[in-house]
Amino acid sequence: MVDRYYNPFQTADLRIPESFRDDVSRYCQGPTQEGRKTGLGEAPFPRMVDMWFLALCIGAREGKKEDLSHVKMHKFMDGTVLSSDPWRIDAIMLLAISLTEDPAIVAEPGKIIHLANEYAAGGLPDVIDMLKEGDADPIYNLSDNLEHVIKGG
Amino acid sequence: MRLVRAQFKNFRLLRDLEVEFSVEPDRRLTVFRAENETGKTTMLMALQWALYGEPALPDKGQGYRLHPIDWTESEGSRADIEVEVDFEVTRHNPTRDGGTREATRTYRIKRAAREEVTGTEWKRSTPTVNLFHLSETGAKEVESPDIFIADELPPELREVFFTDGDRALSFIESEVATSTKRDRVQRAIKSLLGLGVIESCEKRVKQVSKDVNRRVREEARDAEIDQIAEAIDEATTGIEEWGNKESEAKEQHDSFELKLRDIDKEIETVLKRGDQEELAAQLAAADRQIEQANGVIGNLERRHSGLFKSKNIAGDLLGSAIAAAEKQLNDLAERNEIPSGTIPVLEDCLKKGVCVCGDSLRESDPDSMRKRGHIQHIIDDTKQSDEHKKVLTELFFRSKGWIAEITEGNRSWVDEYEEVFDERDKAERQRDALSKHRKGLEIKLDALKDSDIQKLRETRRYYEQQRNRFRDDFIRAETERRRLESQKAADEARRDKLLKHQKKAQRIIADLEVTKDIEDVLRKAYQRIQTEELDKVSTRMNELFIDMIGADPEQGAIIKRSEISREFDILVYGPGDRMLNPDRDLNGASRRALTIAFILALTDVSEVEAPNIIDTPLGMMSGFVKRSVLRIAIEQSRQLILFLTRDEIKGCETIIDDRAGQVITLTNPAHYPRVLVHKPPAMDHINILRCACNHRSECQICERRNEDAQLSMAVAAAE
Repeated sequence: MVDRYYNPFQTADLRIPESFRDDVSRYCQGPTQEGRKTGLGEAPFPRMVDMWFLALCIGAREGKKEDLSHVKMHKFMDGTVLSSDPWRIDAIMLLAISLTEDPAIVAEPGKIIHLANEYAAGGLPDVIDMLKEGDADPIYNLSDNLEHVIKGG
Repeated sequence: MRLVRAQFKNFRLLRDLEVEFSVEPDRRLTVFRAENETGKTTMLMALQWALYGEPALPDKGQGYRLHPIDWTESEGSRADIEVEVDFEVTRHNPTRDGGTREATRTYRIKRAAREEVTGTEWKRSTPTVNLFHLSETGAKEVESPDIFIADELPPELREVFFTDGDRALSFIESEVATSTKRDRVQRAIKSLLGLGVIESCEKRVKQVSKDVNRRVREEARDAEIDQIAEAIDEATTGIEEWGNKESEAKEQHDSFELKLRDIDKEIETVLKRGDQEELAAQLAAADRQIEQANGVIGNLERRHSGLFKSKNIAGDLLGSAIAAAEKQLNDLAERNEIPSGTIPVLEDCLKKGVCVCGDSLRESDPDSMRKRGHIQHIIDDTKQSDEHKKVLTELFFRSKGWIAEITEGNRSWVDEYEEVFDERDKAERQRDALSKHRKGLEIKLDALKDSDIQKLRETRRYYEQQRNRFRDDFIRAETERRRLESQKAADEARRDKLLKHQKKAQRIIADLEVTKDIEDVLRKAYQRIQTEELDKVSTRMNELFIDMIGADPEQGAIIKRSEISREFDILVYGPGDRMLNPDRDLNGASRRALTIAFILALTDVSEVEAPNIIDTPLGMMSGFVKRSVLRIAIEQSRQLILFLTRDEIKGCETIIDDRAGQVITLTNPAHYPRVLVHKPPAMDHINILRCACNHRSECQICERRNEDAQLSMAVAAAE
């Protein structure tokens, strides 16, 4: 029997296109170049995985999949980080089943994460735009734009 | 006295300037059109210096430089300063037929000083002054020029005749203590009405009375009279001494009383601002509240940030995709492909040793062993092919919970966001309000730091002690003086009675009676002038003032009359004889009109023939009131010399056309290019220039830019 929180993606790499690396760093919590923590208002995501996952959701919703075969990628973390929010493991697998229409894909975690990286890369530009679009702090810009998306705008 | 001409050399801004004043009876107005920094105040001061010397300068000339500030070494180490003023005096000589004949003489007063200049240091020599009578036959020097000037234009009146619009306000301004205003008004009135002269006479007569009493002792040769006269002498000296002590104590008492009032106001103001300790405690409390509010906001911000990683956002964004996957899992379950039940059943059979068909699977039986081997083979094969089903099975059961959570629950991510948003907004508003409150406390506290309440209270206690001390001194002196006066009166009566019996003392008695009579006359004259003449000034001031402001409907409705009280206070009354505060209830134009009316009334009642020289009299005035003030000032003055800015002239041009005998424009070339249009002629130093332009014309020297252009120039210069 598999463990209830078994993480099949432990050895997989979570990646983002190198070209978005600076933007992702900018909007995620962490020491700045001056060694200070930026505020949540400016950098609303506690970790990179949070931004990556939101980008994945947006990419999947909008059907934006990026072909990464010729894109220089940056590994920001391995899959172990998903264990801290195990429901995300399930969500990623369900998403993979839905997108491939093949339940058997669950047996291939590498493939799933590759697919997730592709959709995350597709959704990242939208997330970055949502953070920037507006006159408020990025946390409010993102919230308002997400509300717009969810409400079907 | 009327001013005819003046010439200034090296007197501060006025390096070399000559001006003329109008003496035409019908055109008695002279206007100097001059803006700020063009030497108006300097000229006012220079004229007074020429007439009165060092006492007319600030701090009586101590440390007050006269030479131009831009004096350079190339001009030498000695600056010769000179002011020359020509004036005429009209006497009304009696004629044989009982009438009078006017005799006008012209004089020239010339005051000069030399300042030794070394770098920024300078030292002024004692100024010299010469007065000449100018006639067709030449100039004849007049002895004692200062006394001559004092007779024509008493120094006590200097500030009345030479004044500026702002300084004139000191008769009524609220910043000045009541006694100071009263003293200024009293001094001006006493000087003009000659009350000072009467006071001097009274003193002199008292001295004569004392002398006569001394003669009594010498000539009467009577032991008792001698004893009484000696007592009178002592009483007279005592009365004078105690009188002086009384005045001094009264003055000091009043001074400390005023200081007390001032400090009470200051303490009241400080107390209104709040107590320092209390404010500091409030500030600390506000800091704590702000810290708490920041904590709440921090938590809400974290909650807000957490929304981006919530199940709800995934649910709201991926709802359809997850639903599709869920459907696939449900289909698999319906087809019994998941969960996988084969392996557990077969493993259970092996464990129990009985097959699902009922055959034995015991290990002791060779056939059973063959069957067990077959079943184990089936289990191993199934295990391998069902690996993904195993994962799907786990996924199926595990995800049911949270999918239901996000799909069946009523709350969407938007609801969560709105809730956090509202809470954050509320908390941030509270924090802003607290910050504002804190800022207010900080400002109050900062203001308090400048005024130590404890120190103020200590000072107040000191003032109070001093006031009480001088009050006691005053009472003691007053009691003693009265006692001596009473004793002296009794002694005098006794002395006079004894003297009557002595034949040789008749002359002394006559002298005593004369001195007493004179004393009586002077006292009555003083009282009469103080009452009757003061009433005249008061009435005249009121007439002029009401005439001046009558044109202003707003002020005309508020102000009904004005007067000078017996205590020398200038008072203004509104409807129903309600007293108004001139400094608070009157607008700027009315305040100026009131002080100008007071000055004109004084000069009118005194009948002193002298020029009124006023700097910026029409500031803060406009419209008909301005014209009224100018018109009345011209009518009431023997000679009126005004320093007016272009703004003050605005609206009064026709009056100046009709009444001015002389209009001179003064210009400071240093105002080019910011204010002046044309480049002035090259000059080594700043030198005020005059031109022939009147109040309506402009030339290459005095033409000024309009206000917009001046502003543009100033902005350009700043950039």
